[in-house]
Amino acid sequence: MSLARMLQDVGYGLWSTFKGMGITLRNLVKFRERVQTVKYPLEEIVVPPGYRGALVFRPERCIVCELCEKVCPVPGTRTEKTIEMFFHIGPSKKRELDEFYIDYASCINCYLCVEICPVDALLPGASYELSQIDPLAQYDRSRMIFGMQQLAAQPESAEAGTYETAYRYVRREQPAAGAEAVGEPEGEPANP
Amino acid sequence: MQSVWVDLGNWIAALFHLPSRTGPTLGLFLGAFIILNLIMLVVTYMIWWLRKLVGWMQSRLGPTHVGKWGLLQTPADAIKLMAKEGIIPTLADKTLFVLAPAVVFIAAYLVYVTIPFAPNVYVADLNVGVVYVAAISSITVLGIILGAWASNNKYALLSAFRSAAQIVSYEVPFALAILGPVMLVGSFSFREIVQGAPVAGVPGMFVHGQSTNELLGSMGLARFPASFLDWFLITQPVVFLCFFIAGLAENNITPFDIVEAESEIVAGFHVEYSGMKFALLFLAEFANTMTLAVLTTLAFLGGWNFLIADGWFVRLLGGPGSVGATLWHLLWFGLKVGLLITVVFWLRATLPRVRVDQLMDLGWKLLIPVTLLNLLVTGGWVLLGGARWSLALTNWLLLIGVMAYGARKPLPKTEPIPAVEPATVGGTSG
Repeated sequence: MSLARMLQDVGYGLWSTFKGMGITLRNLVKFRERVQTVKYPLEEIVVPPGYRGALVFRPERCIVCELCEKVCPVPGTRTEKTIEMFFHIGPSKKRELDEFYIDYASCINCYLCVEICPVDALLPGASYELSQIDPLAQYDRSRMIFGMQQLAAQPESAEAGTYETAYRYVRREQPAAGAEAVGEPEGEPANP
Repeated sequence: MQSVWVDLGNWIAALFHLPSRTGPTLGLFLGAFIILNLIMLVVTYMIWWLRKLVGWMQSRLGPTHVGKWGLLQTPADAIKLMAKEGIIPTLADKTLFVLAPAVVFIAAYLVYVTIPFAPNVYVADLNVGVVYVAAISSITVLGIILGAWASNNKYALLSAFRSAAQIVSYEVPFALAILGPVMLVGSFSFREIVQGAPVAGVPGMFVHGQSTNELLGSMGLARFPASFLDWFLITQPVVFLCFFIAGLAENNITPFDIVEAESEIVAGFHVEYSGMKFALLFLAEFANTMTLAVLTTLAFLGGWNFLIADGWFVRLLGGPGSVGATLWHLLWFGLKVGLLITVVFWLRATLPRVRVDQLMDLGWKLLIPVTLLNLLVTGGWVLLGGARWSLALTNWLLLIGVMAYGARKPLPKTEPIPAVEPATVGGTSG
């Protein structure tokens, strides 16, 4: 290696170090705009529409085709499949739904049931606080099998706001003063 | 000027009617105690400042919850570490295992014996201060090897060997670099490096043949560093960079922290340590960072001096040696050290870790030749009595020229991916 080449390498090292320090300095000066941290328990996260949270079940739409139960790849911990449906044949020879369970102790959130549902009775949900569906579930694992009423009460992620809201939230382009201000984007609240 | 600790000890001895010969001893013990606690306090908040600053630079927040702005986070961490169980591995050599953190910390602490924080705040003004610091700071490697060997862990041992290679390599440019200011001043004592002792034959900044200090002193104007233009950072920027880089490497600070490379050797030499022993090792690491900042301040940033001549202001505060003047000097010393610590953390947030071979290349192929060359040039300059500004001009032109040349380096071209011939059935080799 010639001396000139070596000198150039040394100079390049110094120059690029100073340049890199300039980049970190710019980040430091603008950190209020660029900070990505969400103080989660104090602030709530605005999720995008396609968010895969807790499943939402709409019993009034369900035609009891049992496709979700058949497609579910996971055996349940306390049930035969993670999704279990119970129904009876009604007076007009139609299946009528009695109860619908998802065993969240074994659900892997693969969303195959959501994809296969022909009538959109199973929908992606916006709730990421699964322990809040039934707070007693942390003491009793059998309570992690959530029923129809509990699943129907979950917020849909289609209602969680638009992609734009979530994007602007991440970029800190909307005022994120407190939990109330952040938790209520233009649409409906993300987590009631 | 007498050390403020001796003054303090004499005052206390007089207050309690103790024999007067106990005064200096008492004062020095008090000074050691105060400096030890100062190191603990400063290191605690250095860790907080590191986490905050690096967090901000990486678009995070850093600690926020414990106390206002997370200010109580590191004291809380320290309390947690004290309360933790001190585990000693079954196969470890127990005596050495316990001894090692103490060796590392004592080596980090002993450096402060000869550090003057202000013209009269020092424990001992050794006339070989620079040599003493260079010698003591390399004891750290003994503690590291001791601890790693005693832990009976292969990752710890690998880390200790890396540390030994690194510290032995960088001790040389570290000592050679600080010889630049030492030669210009003509003394190994840190106080005299800061004050620029008037030594016959050493050229001054403005007056050829007579030392600036003598001339200005005779006119009743100011001490040697008349302004920041007299700091050795301005006179010898190349050596300043070499000194700072070598110091970073010697203290295992981030671009050179191959000793603690998490991706290769779990946590380095302190894998097996926990609780208070780990806290001591951690403390020593940050105390070494502070030592680097302090030494750089003393040797290159004019120590406790203000940016411009402040003789009139010091007289206004009560003259040299008074409480006001001491606090004024301590303020500037602290600000400079804080700035340098911030620069170290800034580098930590910016640069990735180097490889082992890159580290050795930098030390042996660049820093040692450059510092040796500087030794020759500065020595010749002092011998021939050249003016200090010409030395500064040469240094800056060289540095800026090399950087400008380096900035024009064409980026390495990536080799085009060779087109892969579609495989023919049966193969064509043979």
